[in-house]
Amino acid sequence: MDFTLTPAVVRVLQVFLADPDAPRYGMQLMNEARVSSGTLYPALARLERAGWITGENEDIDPAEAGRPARRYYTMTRDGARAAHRELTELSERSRPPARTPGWLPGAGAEGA
Amino acid sequence: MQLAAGTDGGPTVLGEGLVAWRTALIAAVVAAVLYELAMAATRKITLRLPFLILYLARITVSRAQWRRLHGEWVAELHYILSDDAAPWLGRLVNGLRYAAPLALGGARNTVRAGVSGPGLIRRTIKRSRIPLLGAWTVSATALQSFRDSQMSWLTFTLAALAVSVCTNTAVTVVRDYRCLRDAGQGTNRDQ
Repeated sequence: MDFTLTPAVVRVLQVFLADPDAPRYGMQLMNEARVSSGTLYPALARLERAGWITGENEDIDPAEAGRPARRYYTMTRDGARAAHRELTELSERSRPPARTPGWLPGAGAEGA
Repeated sequence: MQLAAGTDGGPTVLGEGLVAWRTALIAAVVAAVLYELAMAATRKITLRLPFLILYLARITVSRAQWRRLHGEWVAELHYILSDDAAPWLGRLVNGLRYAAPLALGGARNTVRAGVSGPGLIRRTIKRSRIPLLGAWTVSATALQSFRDSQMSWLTFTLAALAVSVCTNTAVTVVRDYRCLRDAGQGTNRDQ
């Protein structure tokens, strides 16, 4: 994997992993992943370059629809496996140690 | 000036005669029509604003990259602004929310993220070496000659700043374009 899992990329991957086969459009991803377009499209470019997602134009007649065809993204099989693996590893790495004071019973009462 | 109020004992409403009321009614209808026309023109014009802002992103990327990327963004913006389910103001806000981040560096970051080459290429886009203050100083000096043309100091300062910003941006864009062009050709002067 030749890119970093930033918080924005993680949120985008989570949206894709919710349903990897579902097509997703730019504005939809922005709303669901809570990222701006300036953050979303670089993330999509990295994911597409890594082969985790593919982009295609929707199959409409622009003259009939009155607008150009939008581009949607779907996750690839390899991308879904890789994303799942990377997010799991990230979750393991991010977990606080078991001996963190907050986990100890009665720690809240001592500090009061 | 006294309004015609029931001359010769004619009918009045709230102290005003029928002539005054007729005049007020015509003025109200004309004002309402003008207001609706102005609102329609405003909506039509303001819904073009997100496209104008999106096209500002053009100056941050090369022509080839813009041709590759802008189709997708324009199509998405068309969809956002033509969504009849949303009110006009909501569409405008969503359109601006979509276009502004791309114009403010998102386009450039997308190009950087999507460019690949032999192996993993790390690229540092060189910033312009002309400091903004230096460019402003040169511009201010150059425009000093216009003092005699009765240009106010505010206008003169704004003009100088505008020239220096445009100069700085142009130099940055040319340098970035050269870096990307070299990357596309498989050479990278930064490595």
